[in-house]
Amino acid sequence: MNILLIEPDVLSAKLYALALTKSGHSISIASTAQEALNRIDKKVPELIILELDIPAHNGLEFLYEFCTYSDWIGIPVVIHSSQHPDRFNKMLVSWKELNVVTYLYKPDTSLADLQQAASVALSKNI
Amino acid sequence: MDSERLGLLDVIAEELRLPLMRVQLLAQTENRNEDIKVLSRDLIELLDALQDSYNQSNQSRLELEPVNPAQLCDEVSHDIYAYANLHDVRVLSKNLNKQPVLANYSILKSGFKHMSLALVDLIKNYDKSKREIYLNADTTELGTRLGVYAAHTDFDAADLRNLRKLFLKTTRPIARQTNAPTMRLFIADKSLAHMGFKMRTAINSRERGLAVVLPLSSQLNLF
Repeated sequence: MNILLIEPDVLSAKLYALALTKSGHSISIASTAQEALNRIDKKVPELIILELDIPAHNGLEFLYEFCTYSDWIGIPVVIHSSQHPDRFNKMLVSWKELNVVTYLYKPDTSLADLQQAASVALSKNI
Repeated sequence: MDSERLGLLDVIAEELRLPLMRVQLLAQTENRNEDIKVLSRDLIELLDALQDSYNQSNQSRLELEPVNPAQLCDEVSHDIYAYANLHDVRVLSKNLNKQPVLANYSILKSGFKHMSLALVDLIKNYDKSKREIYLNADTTELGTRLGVYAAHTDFDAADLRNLRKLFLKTTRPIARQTNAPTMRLFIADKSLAHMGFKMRTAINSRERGLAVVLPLSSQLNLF
């Protein structure tokens, strides 16, 4: 399965991609929101794993834009972020409406957890 | 607490988060113990340097000594090698000026080291072929210039703007908008300012980086 990993930190992206590749997935990496949109344009992934803390154009803004494209509505998103989900409570973000199937807080998420979440998200989407 | 200190606390909290998560991630990956050591040591040195930069401001008298700029470049390039290597950034040293300057060696070295590490943090997100920096000591009309530069001058306009913006952030408590090493720049700026030197961005057709000019008055003329 083809996964798009949106992760600005190069070192972390390498390690996450390595773990996800071991689960048998094909991974492409984007470090910015614009790069992610360009990659989705070229090849639509089966799953997006997204860090919300992206420089300049944050992950939430990316999600809102991403959801405006009707061709991409069915693509599930796993948020894998250094930002705690409680930060968004006051903003009343509806994750479900943004195609988010699960929110993983990085400090609490092991590589095995990430692999598991990706597999679950992909199996539900088949 | 004044707004500058509050802003700095916010920056520190944000900028420690990513390196600590990297350590956590590496701990789950096989054969990465050396990388964990490099990152952990870098974090501890960063916190030490931050404390030192504040304690220095309480010192009324600085001890000055002759410092060889070329030798300083070599030492700093050696010190940052492991961290740069972890991020696949190549470090070169070009030393055109060996004329000594009068400065506090440890403060000058700390300032220059953190300038250099800041550029490593910026450049590590570039394509691998462009991840190269060089440290240089040369002579200008105003004095000896210590600088760290990207080896490739094709930073795009957005990155140049960000380079200027992130430098300004070290003096203003602005919410973080770029993946920028503001804490390192803050440490470098404070350390160098304590000796009366000013860190600047060096952006022209040939150079992309950070530099500090050690004025002619600090140069030692040896006969």
